[in-house]
Amino acid sequence: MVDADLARLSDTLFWVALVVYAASMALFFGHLGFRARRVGMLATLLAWGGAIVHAISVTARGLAAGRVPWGNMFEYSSLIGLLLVLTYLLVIDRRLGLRQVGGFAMGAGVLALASARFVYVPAGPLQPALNSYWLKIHVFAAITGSTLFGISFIFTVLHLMKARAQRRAGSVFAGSTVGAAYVGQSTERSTGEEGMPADHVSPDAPAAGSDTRVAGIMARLPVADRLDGLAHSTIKVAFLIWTFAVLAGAVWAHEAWGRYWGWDPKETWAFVTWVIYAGYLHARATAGWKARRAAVISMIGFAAVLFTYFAVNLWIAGLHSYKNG
Amino acid sequence: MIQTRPAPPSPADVARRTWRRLRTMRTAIVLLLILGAAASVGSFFPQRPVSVAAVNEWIAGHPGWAPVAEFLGLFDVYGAWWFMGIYALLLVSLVGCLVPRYRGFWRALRAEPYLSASLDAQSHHLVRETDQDPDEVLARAHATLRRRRFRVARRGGLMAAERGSAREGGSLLFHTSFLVLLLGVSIGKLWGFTGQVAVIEGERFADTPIEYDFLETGRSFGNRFSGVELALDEFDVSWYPNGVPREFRSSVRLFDDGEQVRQEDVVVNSPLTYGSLRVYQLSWGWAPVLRVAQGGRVLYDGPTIFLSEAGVWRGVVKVPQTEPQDTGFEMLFFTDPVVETGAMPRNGRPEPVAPVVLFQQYLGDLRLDRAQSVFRLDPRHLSPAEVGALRLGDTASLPNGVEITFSDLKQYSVFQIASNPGALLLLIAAGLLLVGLVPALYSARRRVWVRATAADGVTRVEIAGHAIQRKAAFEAEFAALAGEVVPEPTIRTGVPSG
Repeated sequence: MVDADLARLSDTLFWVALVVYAASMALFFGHLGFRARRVGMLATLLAWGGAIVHAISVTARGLAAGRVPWGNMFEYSSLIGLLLVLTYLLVIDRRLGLRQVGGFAMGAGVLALASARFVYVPAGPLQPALNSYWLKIHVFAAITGSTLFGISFIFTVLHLMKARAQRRAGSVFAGSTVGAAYVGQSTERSTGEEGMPADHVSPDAPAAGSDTRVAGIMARLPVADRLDGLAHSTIKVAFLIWTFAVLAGAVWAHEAWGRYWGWDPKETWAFVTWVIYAGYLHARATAGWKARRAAVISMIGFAAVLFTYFAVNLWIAGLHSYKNG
Repeated sequence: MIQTRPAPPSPADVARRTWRRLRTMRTAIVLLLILGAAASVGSFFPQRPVSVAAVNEWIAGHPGWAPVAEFLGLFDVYGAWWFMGIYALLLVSLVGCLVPRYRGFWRALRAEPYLSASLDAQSHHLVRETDQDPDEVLARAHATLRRRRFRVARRGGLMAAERGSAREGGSLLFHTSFLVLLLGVSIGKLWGFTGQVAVIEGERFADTPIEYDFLETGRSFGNRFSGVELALDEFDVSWYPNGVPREFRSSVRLFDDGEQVRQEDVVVNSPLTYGSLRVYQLSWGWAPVLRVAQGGRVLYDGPTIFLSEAGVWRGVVKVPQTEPQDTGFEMLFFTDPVVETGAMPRNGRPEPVAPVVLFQQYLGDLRLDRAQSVFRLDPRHLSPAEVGALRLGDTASLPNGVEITFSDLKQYSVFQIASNPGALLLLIAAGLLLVGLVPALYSARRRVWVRATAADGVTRVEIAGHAIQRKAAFEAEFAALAGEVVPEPTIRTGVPSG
């Protein structure tokens, strides 16, 4: 049964995590705007702290309810927030060294947690329809897929912004393969501050960043092609996981309801999302579809992800509806 | 001057052009996006296959738009001609893409790696010198490339290797599995059936068409009902302290030809399987046992199914045999009525703590000569009479010497009974789809060449290569590979480009 102490602990830590994430986001943006290395390190430290607190909150919630902690919309949103932050910390920061993205990733985490508060329900047991090992598989896959689509959306938006800045600065890259040309030496000298940490610069970056003419914050983002490539690879992983989630959902529906597909609003929108991203991948595999057009498809795809989650759960009635708690 | 006008395209030309256009990737992308948009429409309108009642409600609420929506098939989007049309086009485009790709893939698999390439035109190219014999170098290159699972061909001092056909193979498998998926869906639609039935505790149900409350059979199903009998011995619903249901459990026995073949509990997420038949726990409800008598003559006696409507259990009893008029009862059932002044009673605990049936008696003509729902009274020729409440065991005496008794309380269980002969094929298709998707996304085609020529006592080794996909990953692979073929330091390196 529900352990009240653990449930309370979970709720408290959730708030702590939300506040720490918000602080970390602010610092990351400060880091991006003022290129202060120490601020970036502090922001990262805070993000790690928040993630640990948040992970404890999620675990405590699972223990309190005696089941996996993704059985309702609140828990789902909360877990998406945690996975967003962890993906940023483990992959984007540690492996790719793109600390400039930190503010946006943490911002997404804050949004996920804040939206979770609107659908808060106290820790409790599951209704019979959800009581299946498929909950662990299908729902977790859906959470992971949504998270990665979210990350890809960040990359896509940054790509479009950077591409625009590059176009405006008149430095259109033709077939550039190497990225990370964002440390403009001139600006570095003029501000007189510490530059980005060394590990932020890809070793094969051209010595003279051809986008030095891109000014301001935009100059500190990776080149548009790199951001586009990151969006593409994130969508590949997300698409694979989403495909699995949809198929696992069909298998579960066959077990629970005696039909594998019934065009329930959630099924419909999961399919719509899948189809849009399938369109994106085909667009990428086709010569002649410029990155910009693919980016538009990817943004429509993410709108479908959001619709699948929020609108279908809260607005359209169906078997997946969480309208009644 | 004679002007030659372009001849109007012949129908064959038009067909050929359409076919060519249909096979392009651009068409596929546009069709995919249209399919997505079309599918989403169905989530904004109530769908007749899901709920006829919801459709009727929508029509009543939008009398102006209803004919338009009806004409466009918006109440059955997934069966509408235009939806079918979109996915038929997508299917044609898919097959049109796949057939030449199969051919190409088959040829590529059997063909030797491409030997006549100019090495210095590749994106990666380097030259090293060694004092080892050219044959020795090429033998080592062969071993290295084979270990890295390249397909290798050699002609004289030139060796060509190729890897990554899994990408095209995976992609073909992924796309083909949609055709398998479609086959599985069709088999299920043609030879399967789905039915729903409410069974009261202690009663039996036989798998025959007349006994279902709802039935949908495939076009080729015919009348192949198994005749299997299902007895519901007991239904249990358990609750969490906060009133949320914990579990619905139906204890059933299954009889085939009179012989008991199964005895097990059916719960949500754990259907009973017998042959191709599957029995699912779908929902449940209360069935108070009611008895209606007049002048000592029992006219109605039995468990009566109450349906849950907006959290209230409602039931109806129709007794046309009463004199001088027909009697009808509209009833509400409460497991634990909480009465507040001036309001309808509501349910407290979901368990039957203090079960009560509230009834409204009607007298008049039930009009049973016309088709009507067993769960509704036709009020047009009825007038309300007595109102009363019955606790378990109570009897109420009403005018005309009519008595109604709430003698016992039972539950009923609603089962979905289905047979889908396409299910296994669908599962296989889903598996193939995933298996194909991984290499389709992550495998990369790349080619490597090694040429070793002896000159002036040293062996000049040229190593070249390029990757069609995942160029960044190839960078490291090429470097490692070159290092394994000729460990010596590089003398001259080509600048990677592209």
